[in-house]
Parts: sequence; C-alpha cells; structure tokens
Amino acid sequence: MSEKNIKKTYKWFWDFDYDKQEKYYTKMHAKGWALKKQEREGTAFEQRFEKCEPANVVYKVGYNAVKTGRGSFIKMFEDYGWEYCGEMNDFYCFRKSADGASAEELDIFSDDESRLNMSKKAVTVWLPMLTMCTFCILIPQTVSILGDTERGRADLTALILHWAVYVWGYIGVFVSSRRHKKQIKKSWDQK
Amino acid sequence: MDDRIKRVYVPMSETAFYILFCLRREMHGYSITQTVKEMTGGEVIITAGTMYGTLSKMEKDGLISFVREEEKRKLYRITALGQEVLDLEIRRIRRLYRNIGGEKNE
Repeated sequence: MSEKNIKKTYKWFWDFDYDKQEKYYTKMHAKGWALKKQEREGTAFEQRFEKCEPANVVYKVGYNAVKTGRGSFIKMFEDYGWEYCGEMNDFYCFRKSADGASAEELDIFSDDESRLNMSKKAVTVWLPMLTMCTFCILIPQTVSILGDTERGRADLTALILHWAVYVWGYIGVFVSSRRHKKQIKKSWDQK
Repeated sequence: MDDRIKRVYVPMSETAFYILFCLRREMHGYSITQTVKEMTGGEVIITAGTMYGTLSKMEKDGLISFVREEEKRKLYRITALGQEVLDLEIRRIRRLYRNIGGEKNE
C-alpha cells in the first residue's frame, strides 16, 4: 500500500481516556480513515489509519487482563458483530458499522455496573503504576538533581517537565473517572 | 454460602439473573444473549462487554464453572452454589409477585 493511503497521527491517550479514543477513531472513520489493525503493536501516542470510504462506524474499547482468555474474549465480541482492530495494555479495540444498528447493538456495555467497572479498571491499572514510578523514579531523581550543587539549567528543565507529566497523569486519572461517572449518569437521565 | 456472596448477589441485577437462569444448562455468552432476548421479547439485551464481565465475575465467585471450549467459545454451567443463589432469588421474586397480586391475575 502506498504511503498516501496511510495516515499517522500523534495523540497521547492514557488508558483511562478510552472513551476519548473511541470518539476519535469513530470521527476519523467518518472522514475516510479506518484505524489500521495492529496486533500488540502501536504506542499510546501514535495512531495509524488506512484510507477507506467514509462510513458511520463505531469504535469501542474493552478490557481483558486474562492473557489466556485473549482468544475467547475476541471471539465473544466477534459473536456480537464486532470486528477486532488492535490492542494495547489489555485494552482491546473493536468496531462495528452503525448503519441499521440499534443503540444497544452499538454499545459493548448494557448496564451501569459494567460501565463503572470499566472505568474503575482503567483507573486502577494506572494508579499503582503511576505511584510506583513516582516513588522509584521521580522522587529519587528530584532529590539527586536538587542536591547536586553543579546542576545545570537543562537538569532543572528536565525535572520540571518530568513532574509536569506525572501531575498531568494524576489529574487525568481523577478527571477521567469523574467524566465516566457523569457520562453514566447522563445516559441514565436520557432513559 | 458466605455473606459476601449474599451481599453481592441477593438481590441481583436482571442481567445477572437471566445469565444464571440460562446456565442451568451448558451455554456460551452469545447464545445466552439470544435466549434472553427471545424470552423477554427483546426487552433485555445483554451486550458483549457486560456478558464477558459478568461471566468472569460469576466464575471467580464460584457461581458458574467453565465446562469446555468450542471454537474459542467458552461454555459455562451453573454450580451448586450458583443454584443456591438462584433459588434464593426465585423465592424473593415469587414473593414480590405474590404481594403485588400477581397470582390473582393468573
């Protein structure tokens, strides 16, 4: 396939921003860019798309941490008409044509309990990792740079940037989990 | 039955009830969704993510057990503990039905 038919975008999605990813991929497909299938590849900040006919296709992200259950997890979604299109850190992406499908058929969760569980999982996957990195990398690094009498400007800038990413991560966790709860409440109010 | 199971599953959601009810015979996720859709005239639809999550949780709690795999589809069946929980629920729902005058209308 020629390079013209491939588009790469660079956006950072935390795992708990799965709802933002879903919306972004759905929007791209409507513009004629289908998410390129990439098994166990790709990163959190690079997305690859293939040129396609613009279509009303819905993307959804599901979570499965059981490695041995990977095949049956994907099979389950395929049974319900979802096409598997990639995964990262136990988060699996699926898509389905929205034409002629009911609202229930275009959702992967049919009750609030499972929607909340998804949000909780996405947050609990990240918080321990973020906390561990804070104590094992960020704090020792801060102590060493601040204690270094010959520290340069570059060291300080790097340190501030490093802190900014962590603060962004922590704020992201809380903002996303509030957003998910709001969305659940909103969908409930609409019923 | 320990208190945790009782607290989590009694009363249980409609989704959980129908899944457990269907699993009195061996079934896989999608076939449960189809059966429940038929039983309820399309009013109760259980989607893929909810089905997978509920089956995993019930298996972990010992209410159902994995029987075998068929073309990558996992088939489950209710356990003795699951049947006990289901019976409790059925008794509770029958009582509700009786108290709202259900039997008079039959």
